[in-house]
Amino acid sequence: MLGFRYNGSRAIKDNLSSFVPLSPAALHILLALAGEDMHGYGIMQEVTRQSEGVYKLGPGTLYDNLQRLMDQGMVTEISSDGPRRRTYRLSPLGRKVLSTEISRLEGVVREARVHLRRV
Amino acid sequence: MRWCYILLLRLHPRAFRQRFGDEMLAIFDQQGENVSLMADATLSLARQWIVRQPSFAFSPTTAPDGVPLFYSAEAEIPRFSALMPGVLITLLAFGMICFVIGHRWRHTHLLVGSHHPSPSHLLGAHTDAQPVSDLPAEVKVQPYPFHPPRSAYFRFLLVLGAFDVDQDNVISAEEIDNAPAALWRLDKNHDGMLSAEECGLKPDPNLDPLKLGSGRLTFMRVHPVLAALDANHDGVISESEIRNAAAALRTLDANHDGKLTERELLPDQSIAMAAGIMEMLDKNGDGRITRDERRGSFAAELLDRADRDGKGYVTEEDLVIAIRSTARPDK
Repeated sequence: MLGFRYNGSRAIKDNLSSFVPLSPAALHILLALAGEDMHGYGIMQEVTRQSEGVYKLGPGTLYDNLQRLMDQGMVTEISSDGPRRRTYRLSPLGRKVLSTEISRLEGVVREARVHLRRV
Repeated sequence: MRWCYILLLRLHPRAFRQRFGDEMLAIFDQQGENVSLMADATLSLARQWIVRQPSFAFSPTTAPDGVPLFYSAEAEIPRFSALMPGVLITLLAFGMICFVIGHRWRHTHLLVGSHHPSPSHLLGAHTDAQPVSDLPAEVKVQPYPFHPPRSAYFRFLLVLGAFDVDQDNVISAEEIDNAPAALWRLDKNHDGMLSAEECGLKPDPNLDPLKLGSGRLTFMRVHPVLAALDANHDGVISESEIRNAAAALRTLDANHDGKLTERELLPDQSIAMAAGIMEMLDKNGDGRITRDERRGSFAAELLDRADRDGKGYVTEEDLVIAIRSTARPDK
């Protein structure tokens, strides 16, 4: 989505700054899980809904990112109805990282608006 | 398509496959057969093996004292079960390459080795000279080792194959002189003469004896080299005709250059075609195709044209004239 590293906000804590900026897939997954716990297919549908069909997540990309997010402690697996259906939840750390990323994006949007008015 | 998807999943690294494979397959089943899912799985496969595998992350690092550190990959030796597909694929590819080379059919660009494996391009090193101390061996190489492909006509007519010893599709003066000896080698049943079969005819074993006899005569008559050798046109090359083979062959040397090329040996197309039609339609073997015999035949129009004087039958000579006039209507 935004492909450059933003270093302007001093409010971002050091331990959280290492996680941002998030990749578009990771951002959408965290956003999808911010509302409620979901299984993989539900996350894919929620991402499609949030982006109004513009961004579609394939299972390969979804689980690759889920694995990394779980390794980093941002997402946890909470229950399993068999190996074909597991439910995932946003962890407190994931929620903080998501908040940090949203704040960063808000700063980007604010800067962008300022610059665009000057043009 | 589901099987393809399962195969792609099985090719993923074991840890990823065991952790997420069932979930990915469940999503595939829910979404139905979808090409984009196949593309996603393919990309995922490449990503998991190339980007995510820890073995690719190995790199030498430098310790604080400046001495480089290296990872040992001993613990990462692939499993036997992981190596087996590679072994099978290698063997399969090797077998296919060997098969293609061994069965190259007419594709010379697939040839590995010599165009003519026998006789060898290396000539014999026979000499009466005393061996020289600094030259212990002599090897002669033919100046032009690549012969043209063997003529199909020389392969078909066994007598031509026997004459053309060096397989250059030309019967040289020397080969003409050696013609009797070459013909004797074709006498498989040692009866002192050569039948049409010994010259290259391969008749249908179920053929009517009457038709077989006329077929042998036609075979010996249509091919110029056999017609020249079989001087009395009795359908066999007798002992005396074999002895006179060299002289008979020289009568075919139209340009008097002392050798016979394929152009001088090929049968006249009109005569060959007329002989073929006679073989098929002359049911009683009397050398004539009557109106009854030609009625409804594939060559009825040609035969009607051949029977110009309306005598009611067509001979082979009539057919030859008709075929030539068809090929050259202006003449």
